[in-house]
Amino acid sequence: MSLSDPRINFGVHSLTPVNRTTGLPYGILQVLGDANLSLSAESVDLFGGSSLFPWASEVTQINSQMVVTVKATPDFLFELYMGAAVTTTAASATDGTVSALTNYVGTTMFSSTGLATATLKAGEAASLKFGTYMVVYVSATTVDVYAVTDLQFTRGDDLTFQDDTLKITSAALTITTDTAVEIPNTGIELTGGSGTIAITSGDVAIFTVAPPHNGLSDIAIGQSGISFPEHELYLVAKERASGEMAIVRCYKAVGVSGMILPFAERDFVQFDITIKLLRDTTQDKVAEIRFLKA
Amino acid sequence: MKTEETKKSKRATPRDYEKEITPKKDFRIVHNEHDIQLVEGVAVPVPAMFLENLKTEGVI
Repeated sequence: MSLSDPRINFGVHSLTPVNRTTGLPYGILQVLGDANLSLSAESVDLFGGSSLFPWASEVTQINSQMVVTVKATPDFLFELYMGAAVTTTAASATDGTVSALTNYVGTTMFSSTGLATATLKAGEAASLKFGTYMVVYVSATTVDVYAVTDLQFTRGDDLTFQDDTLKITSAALTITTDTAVEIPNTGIELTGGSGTIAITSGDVAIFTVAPPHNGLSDIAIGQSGISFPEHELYLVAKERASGEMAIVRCYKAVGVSGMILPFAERDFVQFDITIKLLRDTTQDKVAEIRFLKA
Repeated sequence: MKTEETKKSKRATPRDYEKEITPKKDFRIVHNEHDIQLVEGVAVPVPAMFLENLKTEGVI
């Protein structure tokens, strides 16, 4: 007989949240930093008489939580830990996605007497540039267009800001009834409404453009009625060279830290989330750890 | 009669017609291949598709 090999845990492999209602995984987090499972207890000591040392000590509460350094940002992360509502758009690898126009100021820019649509100009997908655009009144029948970023201005036909106002049209575009006019070098055309064009002074409409893509996620943060869904968590350690493995199942977890999403200068995004581990009455436990001895 | 009908069918749409106007004020039309600078009092032909706009703008 001899001593058995010591149990040694090493590293982290993945974290998988599971929907407690459907029983299905939300997805898997594999690009992780540290994942610290903390079951730290607080206690109260009984001192008395002339003793310098406590006569008794009792645990009063255990703070059960997990702090995870996250280095990838899948949709479910925002849903679970920011209470966000996620809307996805299917891949559009050829044409990209141009949103519908939305009136931002006033009501005539996107109307039958203004613009009917902003759409991809046939054959010009190579010049689509990611961002949000503003269509702004210049006169009753003409508009200028502004962009919020020059991120992809060299994609396809080059585009430039005209001045510090972020205007991208060198001259106001004429809008005519039921006819499309190209916003130069953007791959986008604006089609006039069906009525006599008569845009009201000051009116603005906006639209968004995504060049050909493999999927879009629009993550709405701060909507009324948001909630932080309770979920299960599976934390999996890295498999050791010896073959040892470990998996922790947390039965009832909830995000409590929110998310700090740094857009760091020349560095990858990474941030911590704190997840409270709650007692599950059905399972009669908080978590369960399974070690595999090779 | 048949010849006349054939000619009509080959005619361009009204929007393709050009009409000479004398602008009441300066105005610039920028629309796809069109870039027309109108100068007050200077007669110039413009595509018919812009006439409605020019009325709205008070150019004609």
